[in-house]
Amino acid sequence: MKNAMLLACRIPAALAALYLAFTFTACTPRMVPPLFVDETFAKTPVTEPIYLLPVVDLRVDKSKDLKLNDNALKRLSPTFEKRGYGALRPLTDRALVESLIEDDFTHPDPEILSSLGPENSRWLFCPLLHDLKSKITFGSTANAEISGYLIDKERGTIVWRHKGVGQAGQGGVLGMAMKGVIEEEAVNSAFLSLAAAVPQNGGIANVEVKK
Amino acid sequence: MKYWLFLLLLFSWPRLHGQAPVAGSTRSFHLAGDSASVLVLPVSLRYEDIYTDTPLDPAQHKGAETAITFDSLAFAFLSQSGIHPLPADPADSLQQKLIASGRHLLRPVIPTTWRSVLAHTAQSASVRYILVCSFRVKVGPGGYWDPNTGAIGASSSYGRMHAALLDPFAPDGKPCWTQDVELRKLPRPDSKRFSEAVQLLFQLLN
Repeated sequence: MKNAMLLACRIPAALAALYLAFTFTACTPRMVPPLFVDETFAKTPVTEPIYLLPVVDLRVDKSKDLKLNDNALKRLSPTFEKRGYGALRPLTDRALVESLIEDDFTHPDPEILSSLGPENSRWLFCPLLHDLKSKITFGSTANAEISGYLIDKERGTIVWRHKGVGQAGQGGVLGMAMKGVIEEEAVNSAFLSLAAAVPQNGGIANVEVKK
Repeated sequence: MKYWLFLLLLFSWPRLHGQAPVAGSTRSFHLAGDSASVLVLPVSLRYEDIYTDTPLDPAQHKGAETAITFDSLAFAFLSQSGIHPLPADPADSLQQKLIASGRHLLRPVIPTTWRSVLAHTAQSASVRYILVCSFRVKVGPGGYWDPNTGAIGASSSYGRMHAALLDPFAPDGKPCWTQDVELRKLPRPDSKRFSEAVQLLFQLLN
């Protein structure tokens, strides 16, 4: 009788433990391999602060004024903190990135990279907004495409690169009324998938290094 | 209720088909007299995966057909505007060099090393200007509809056309005129939207 009661208690306890284990696993920030990470950077601990440059707007139609710098800071900074880099330090002067084009990142020139940002800084994180479109149908949809580059000014190189694509939408009249929210959701989703590939500071044991 | 739905659909109808190409600039450029003769380099077409930017095989997306249609439409629209487009000569080594180095010619300021190549090419072809075009297509996931949650999503694929009119003798190395046009879906060379996009690209060049 005693054994039967003990067994009856053990089963719910084991199920609860299993549920908790699953919950914690699901809540742990997921780390994905970045599209590119420099091997030297991956092994060296970063002690200096990382500055966040304003978002480089690469859209064709720039008529809609987007204020994405706050979204970038809110979505990226917590991950950098969790992974041991400390909070990102935002730079708000748009003039810092006004002349930059995509080619400066895809075919980087060490001289241009070293001249970016404040003089006394070493690490810069630069987000690039490739595309943000929203559309009203019978509902509304939005797509966002953002890439991020971590620059080592001292060496004049890009040490990390990744890309985030966000797709969001809601059908019906409710969806039509929520256009702004849907747009924001797509942007945030893109920033979060970008942040997921930020490696642990000084050790990249969990991440497969892509050359 | 029916009237409301009708009005709602009526309101959203133009937007339902709001896939019209969008131009980035409103600046026009007028080529006058003899200088209306322009050497047109063939379009540089690139297909990329939206998640990784890795190049995709153009053959999977009718790449060759798209490039041919783009060039023929470009010639047609430029001729309509009173410009004399001159096709690139595949046997000319200087022109081949320019075609291979399209990336450098699409920068806001052309590197000095390429300016002399441009000048020599313009002199040998007896033209005042050189027109460089690129078409970059990002291929991403398509649209979706989840009947359980009501969530919908639009296709994330798109194409961007870029054209730059270069004056090889410009002292600052900047293009005389540039235009960007975005096509909000995968380009189909036989579609009306594609033709509209190419027309929009050259509309302000006359």
